Amino acid sequence: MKLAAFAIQAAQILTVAFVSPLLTGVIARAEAVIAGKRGPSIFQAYRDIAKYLHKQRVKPGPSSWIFYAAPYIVCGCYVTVATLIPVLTTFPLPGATYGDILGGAFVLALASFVTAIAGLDSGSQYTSIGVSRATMVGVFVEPTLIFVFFSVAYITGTDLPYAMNEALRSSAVDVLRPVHLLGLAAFFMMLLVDTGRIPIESGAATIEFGMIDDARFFEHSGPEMGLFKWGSSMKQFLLYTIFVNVLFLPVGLSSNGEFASVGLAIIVLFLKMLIVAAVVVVIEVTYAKLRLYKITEFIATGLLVAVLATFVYVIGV
Amino acid sequence: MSLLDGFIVGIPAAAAIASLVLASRHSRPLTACAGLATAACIVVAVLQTSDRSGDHDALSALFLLPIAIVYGAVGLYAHWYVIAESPDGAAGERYRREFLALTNAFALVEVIVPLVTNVAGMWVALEATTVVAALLVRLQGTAAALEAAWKYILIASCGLALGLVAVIVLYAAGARVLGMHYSPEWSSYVHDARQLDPDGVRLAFIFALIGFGTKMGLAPMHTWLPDAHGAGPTPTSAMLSGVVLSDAAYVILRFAAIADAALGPAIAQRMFIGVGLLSLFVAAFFLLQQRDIKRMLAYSSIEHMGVVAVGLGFGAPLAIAGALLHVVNHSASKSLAFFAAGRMAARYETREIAGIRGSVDALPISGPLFVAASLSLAGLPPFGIFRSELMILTAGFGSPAWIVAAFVVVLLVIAFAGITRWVTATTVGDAPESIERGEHGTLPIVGMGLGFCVVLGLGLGVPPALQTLIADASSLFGTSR
Amino acid sequence: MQHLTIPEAIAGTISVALLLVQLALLRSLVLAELITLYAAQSLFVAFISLAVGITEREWDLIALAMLTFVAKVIVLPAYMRRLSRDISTRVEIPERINVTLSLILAAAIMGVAILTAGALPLKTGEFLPQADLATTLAIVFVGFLVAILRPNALAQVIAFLTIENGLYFGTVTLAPGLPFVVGILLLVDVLIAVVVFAVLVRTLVSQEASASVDVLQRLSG
Repeated sequence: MKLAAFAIQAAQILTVAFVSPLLTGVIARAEAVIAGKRGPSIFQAYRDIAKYLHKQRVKPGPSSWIFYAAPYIVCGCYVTVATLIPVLTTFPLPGATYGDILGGAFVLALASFVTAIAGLDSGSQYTSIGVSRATMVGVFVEPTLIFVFFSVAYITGTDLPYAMNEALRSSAVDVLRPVHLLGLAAFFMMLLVDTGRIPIESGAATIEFGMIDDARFFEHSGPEMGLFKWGSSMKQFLLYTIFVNVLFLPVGLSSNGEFASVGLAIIVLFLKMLIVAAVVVVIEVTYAKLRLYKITEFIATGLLVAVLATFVYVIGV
Repeated sequence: MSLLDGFIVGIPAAAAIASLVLASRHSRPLTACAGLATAACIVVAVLQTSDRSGDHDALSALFLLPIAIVYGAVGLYAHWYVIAESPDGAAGERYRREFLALTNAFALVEVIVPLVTNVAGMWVALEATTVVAALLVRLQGTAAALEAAWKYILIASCGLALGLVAVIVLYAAGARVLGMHYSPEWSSYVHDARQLDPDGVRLAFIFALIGFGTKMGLAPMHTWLPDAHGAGPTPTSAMLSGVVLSDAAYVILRFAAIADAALGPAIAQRMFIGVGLLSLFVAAFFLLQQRDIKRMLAYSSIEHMGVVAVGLGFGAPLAIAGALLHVVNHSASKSLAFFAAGRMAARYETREIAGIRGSVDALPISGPLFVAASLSLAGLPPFGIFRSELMILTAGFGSPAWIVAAFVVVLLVIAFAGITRWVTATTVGDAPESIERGEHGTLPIVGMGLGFCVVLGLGLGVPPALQTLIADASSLFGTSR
Repeated sequence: MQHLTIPEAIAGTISVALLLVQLALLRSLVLAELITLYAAQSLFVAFISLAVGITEREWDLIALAMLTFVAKVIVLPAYMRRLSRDISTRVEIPERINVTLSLILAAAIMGVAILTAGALPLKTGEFLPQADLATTLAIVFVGFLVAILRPNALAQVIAFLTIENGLYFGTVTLAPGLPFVVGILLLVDVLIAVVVFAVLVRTLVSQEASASVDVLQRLSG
């Protein structure tokens, strides 16, 4: 049964919204199991979000309406990006023409910005430290992402995510070009940074002095905290989606809009993400968190790899 | 390679090996004889070339002359120097053997550079001079010598790395017409010059000028020169200034000949004027504030290499002839100056200008010879450098770049002021009472005397054989093509 | 968008690996890592020399490749490790500017190298003609940067050796017809240069009790 386009669009948004906590849960469980512990259930993230939604709000002294509006804006941004990228289908859905991949990057940056000012709005020291660190990190991460997108765009000739997906699917050799491999490496490094995993921050434990991403919404409570946690899961899911569907393994997506193939696409997407998650988990248990000023070295290395990708394209390798 | 070439290369090689094996009291006279013998062979080869009967071209033969002059004199000078400057005891014998072996080896690699016809081979020979020279500079063992040797080998090797890039790019530029596998003889490049890839030739020349210009002492790559000359042993400084700089100039000239043939002379000329003026500028101003007598002579080398570059940049046949003659003149004068300065430094036991007073009084032959050599370097008649500078400046004022010639005159005057200031400080007046009077050793005097004859002789008149040689060589370049 | 054959693609990937190793030199502040990076880079260069030699049927390139492997991947790194154990007491080498900034400078310098090599239409054969000059220049320039930014004697030696690696790469890919003698002399020259460096470094350490070249600043003016 062929689904209408808006139905698939809705399915896309619902997938991003409701499958993302599952990814978070799986990663947390895998980390614990590898470390020899039993670990939380893979559905724990759902329970946590539900728990927060029922809790009481606490208002920090100097905060204003921005403090309350932020999580809603952030989740809205993530849902918007979900319509722009190829999550389930190979053909563009109605919402996809609203922006290219750079537009998606800007919307994600808007979400970061809103989180940052909400954190500053609360007036607490921990959140301010987190915001300043996150901004420092962002200074390098944004250009790296743009270079990566450009280098992939060079190969595929377009920077619309759906078209990139199409171009990469049609020519497997292009995926193995040094340009592309370098772009993948750079994006993976930025993935580690943006989702807040080792070697940037410790995803498993809450170490206040080392927190960067999570510190920004430290002062929120109740439903807003729940939304932020949900937003973090969604952001992780989105970045993983971009990584696998646009850059790395653009296979398994539904090409005809049939109900069965869309369902299959959701499952295949999750499985592909598990592959990436496996690598992330291995890195998490193998390496230690970097000291703060060495984080910029790590990110600068990512930037250098991305710049190298562009250069390698220009010199024709 | 002809029999004569075999001798020219073989004699220093044999001397080097012998110096390693024999005791130094044998290898000292052996080195002196080797130097004179090689010089004689080179003169014969030069005469053959100017009759157009030899099998070198004029440029190669011309650039063999500095080696003849310097190596011949160094052999005689080292006979005394090695005894005077070596430490006592067993370490002294090791020092002497190492020094003599390395000096002969240095002469060997220096003499190979003008003799190879292969662009890559020239590069290899220049790299070899870097290695041998670094070992020589550090021989004194002082902290200053170490620093000088370190900077020298690092900067020179990096410069030569760029030079190798030039060789590679030139090879690639030639592949279009000469195929993928060919021997990069410079003559085949000149022959097919019009068909070489012009962008490649231009890039190759730029890299060659910067890379080999490092070894030639052109600014801004000159920073190793004052240290290496100042801290190294005197004969090494003479050989560095007198021969290595001219060997590097030879390689750059080969590239310039190819660039002129492929791209027209304008490109190379503009670049020569640029680096030449910069070198003159740097040298002139640093000359005004020197404290060490050998560093002063080193900056004078930079100045004169700048003059050579500017001469090549003016492009007229007279200017090019002047530049080529200048190379020979400079080798003769600079080596004489270093020899005399070395004797002064040994007598007064310091290289500081402030520590040397009245050397004419203390060293009745070396002192006046130092004055003569320095005046020659400053550009006074009746010495050779005046003649070649006059040729260059005459051509310069006649060319469209006359304003450059005006700048050159001003800078030469500043350099003149600097040199004469320090020379008068060290030579005029009475020497302190504690300094012993009189000269030791006859062979160094003979060596310096021979050098002085060359300096004066080239100033009074250029022998016809040399004139023919220079004319033939300058026909390879510039607007005369 | 030219489609490359498998050997070209592999050669291209290895050229990029060469560049990556060169950039990685700036990332590391530990001498042992620098030596390992140099050994890895020499391995890649030897591999490319072997590949070009087999493709173009230049036996001297194959011989040079094997010699390079023995000399630069096995002998030299072992010698340098011994040297570094003898001379240094500290594990980390100093740096003039911090690592982040030096990595960004390296990116800029690579851009300069690419621009210089530019659109030079040097047709020299089947093996990646445009890429080779740019890669060579990039390796050489970044090597200069490493020598400037790491004021430690042994680090500067390693930087120089990687520059020679880049030059060897350029010779092999752009000028494969250069006489075998030149290739051998290049290798011999590297070995001799290292011996000379070793002599100087030992003297430096015995005199100054430190391998930092910052002390070499007495001569000036």
